[in-house]
Amino acid sequence: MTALLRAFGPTGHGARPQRREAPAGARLGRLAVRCAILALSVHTPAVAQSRIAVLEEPDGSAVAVSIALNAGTSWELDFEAGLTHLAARAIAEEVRPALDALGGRIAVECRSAATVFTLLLPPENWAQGVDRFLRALFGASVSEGAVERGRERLLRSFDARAGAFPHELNLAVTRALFGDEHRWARPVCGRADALARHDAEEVRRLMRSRFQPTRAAAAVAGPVTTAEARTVLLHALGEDVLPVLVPAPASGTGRGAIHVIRPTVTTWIGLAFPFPRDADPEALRLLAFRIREAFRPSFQRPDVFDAGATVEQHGDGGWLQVVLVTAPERAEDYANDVIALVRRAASEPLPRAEFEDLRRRYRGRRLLELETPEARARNAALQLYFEQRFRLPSESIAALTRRRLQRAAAALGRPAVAVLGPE
Amino acid sequence: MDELDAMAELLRDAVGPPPLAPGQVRAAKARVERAGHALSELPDRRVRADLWSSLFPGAPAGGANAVPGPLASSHLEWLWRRFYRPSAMSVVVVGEVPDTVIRSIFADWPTPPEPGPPPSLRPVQGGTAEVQTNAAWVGLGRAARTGESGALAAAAELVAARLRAGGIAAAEAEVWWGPGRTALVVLGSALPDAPAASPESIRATIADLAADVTADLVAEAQRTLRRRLLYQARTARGLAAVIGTFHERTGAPDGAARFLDALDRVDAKAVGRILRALVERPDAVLEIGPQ
Repeated sequence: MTALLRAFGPTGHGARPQRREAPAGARLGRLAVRCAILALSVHTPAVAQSRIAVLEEPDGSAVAVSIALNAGTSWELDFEAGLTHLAARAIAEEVRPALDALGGRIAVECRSAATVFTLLLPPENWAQGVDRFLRALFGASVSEGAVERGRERLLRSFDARAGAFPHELNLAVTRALFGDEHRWARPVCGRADALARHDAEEVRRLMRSRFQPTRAAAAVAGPVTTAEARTVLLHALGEDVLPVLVPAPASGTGRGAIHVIRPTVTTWIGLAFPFPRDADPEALRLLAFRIREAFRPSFQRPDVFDAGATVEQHGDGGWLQVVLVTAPERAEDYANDVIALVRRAASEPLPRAEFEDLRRRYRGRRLLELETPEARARNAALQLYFEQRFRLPSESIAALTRRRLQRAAAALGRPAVAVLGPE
Repeated sequence: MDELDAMAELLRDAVGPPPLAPGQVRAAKARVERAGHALSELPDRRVRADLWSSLFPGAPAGGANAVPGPLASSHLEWLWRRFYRPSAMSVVVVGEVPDTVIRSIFADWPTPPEPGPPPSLRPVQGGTAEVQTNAAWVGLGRAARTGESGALAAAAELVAARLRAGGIAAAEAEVWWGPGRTALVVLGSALPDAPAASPESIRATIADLAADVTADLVAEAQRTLRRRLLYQARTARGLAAVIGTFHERTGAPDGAARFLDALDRVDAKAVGRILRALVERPDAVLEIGPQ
């Protein structure tokens, strides 16, 4: 493993000396500079598309609405860590009694690039529930009680993840990719110590500045008509064709490789392959699926205990992340195997029959992931947000080709590597 | 349509002749026995299994008590020939597939050979394992006519909410569907320091509810149940499960729709009557104490 880490770090950005703590004034100055960099690092789509998608499903028995909001952790200054997600949770708590009365549910998701709200409501009163939620979301009038309930839930979730290897590995991967103090290398839902300091007024201030209708993309799935869904959403969102800006990380200064030493009996490996803005997200998801299949635990690989691959997006592209849990002595081999698979996929297209089989299995898996209306609405909202367009997943998958898969693999850059395990 | 054909082929294999090599039968039997004994150690499973036997005597219990007896390959083959017949099967398909296509796929569904006379099967009751629990478990149930399923479901919803509000956190109330009858079953458990979950405390809570059940409470229960079913049916798999479950329970392909209609017609009077009967004359009461 040491050889692998040496091979991948430092990256082309060069090794950085150990940082010393800067004086408070200098830190503030640096924050101001970073704010400016971030403001410049927002991707604006060339052509403004609709930011509302409606999936008419006349036979559906529930209505789902998803809102992707340009208010992720990446906007936060260091002292704000977690404030965005606290505000989102507070809104969920604020509207929960009203939604309960209507038979509705709400889920909140924190990401570096966005905050995502997803609601599920009965068809007979979905519009009422969504209207109530949107007024709370953009009204900045959350109560202190809701903030406290949101804080309590968040702190409980932080307790649950404390010391959890997946969380620690994710942090290490983003640090390897972007650098230790980079905004995109922070815990995506914040930190418990910072969270305890934020009061209700700070939450409202953040809501006023970042929870704005112009920063949202929205999707509805269920037994609704396009006309009625658009009426409900446009009432709160205003213009339909405003471009939604998507934050992008400023240039990274990641070390390329990080080893987190833990006395574990397994080794956890995270590989992050960066990709540019014009990469092909659907083909990358297919590649991620192929990697998961190739490295999942099986009789042939008794020393692999878990394998996963996901595509993370931001305004300037994103990264394909692979996570493997293996026997320590085989970790380096498997990491190299993943890299070799990506290189092979980039150098030559899969044989036609193999590709067709792969695409069919991927289609099944992907459509099962999207079997609930809330999953379909969330997928559509995120697609509108990151890609400024929406295409039905079944159509996107049908349009995949061997060449597109090859080009997607070729678009991947050199991976950043994080390893969590014994010395 | 390729996927549909492949799915049908998998189903065809699944209902085909079982593997009957002695080693395979022994291995399957061992797995079922282990699972059966493991489940019978769990207090809620034991309470459920014993209540089921009391409420529906003679009906196969399944689950925790289904520990097979001295089965041989010939027994299994007979069971397969007897029960795995198209006439005993229902198919629920959810999706954008024309009815004619579905019918053509299942038209020539394989029929096992005639079963012949049954071998002498002596069922062996399981549930002999010691129950492991540090909480007091109570279950009580009352059988009812199948036509009362809507009122039973509303009553169960209200009872569970009232028990939980009264401090019995691990309280559940369920409608069970047995052969020709249904039953309302209430289960509760409590750790030593928590409010007691005794037959008396549960009956007292239900009696209070029976005395003050209102049209508003019933309407809320109806809405909750309807939404729960509709949410469950929001996926293709969920909808197929809802349709299939109610078909199995009622024998009617539109059993789920009929249940929802029956639920709409429920009133406070019917719910109150069921609750009072549950308090006064439960057909079955089960208690398991902490060890």
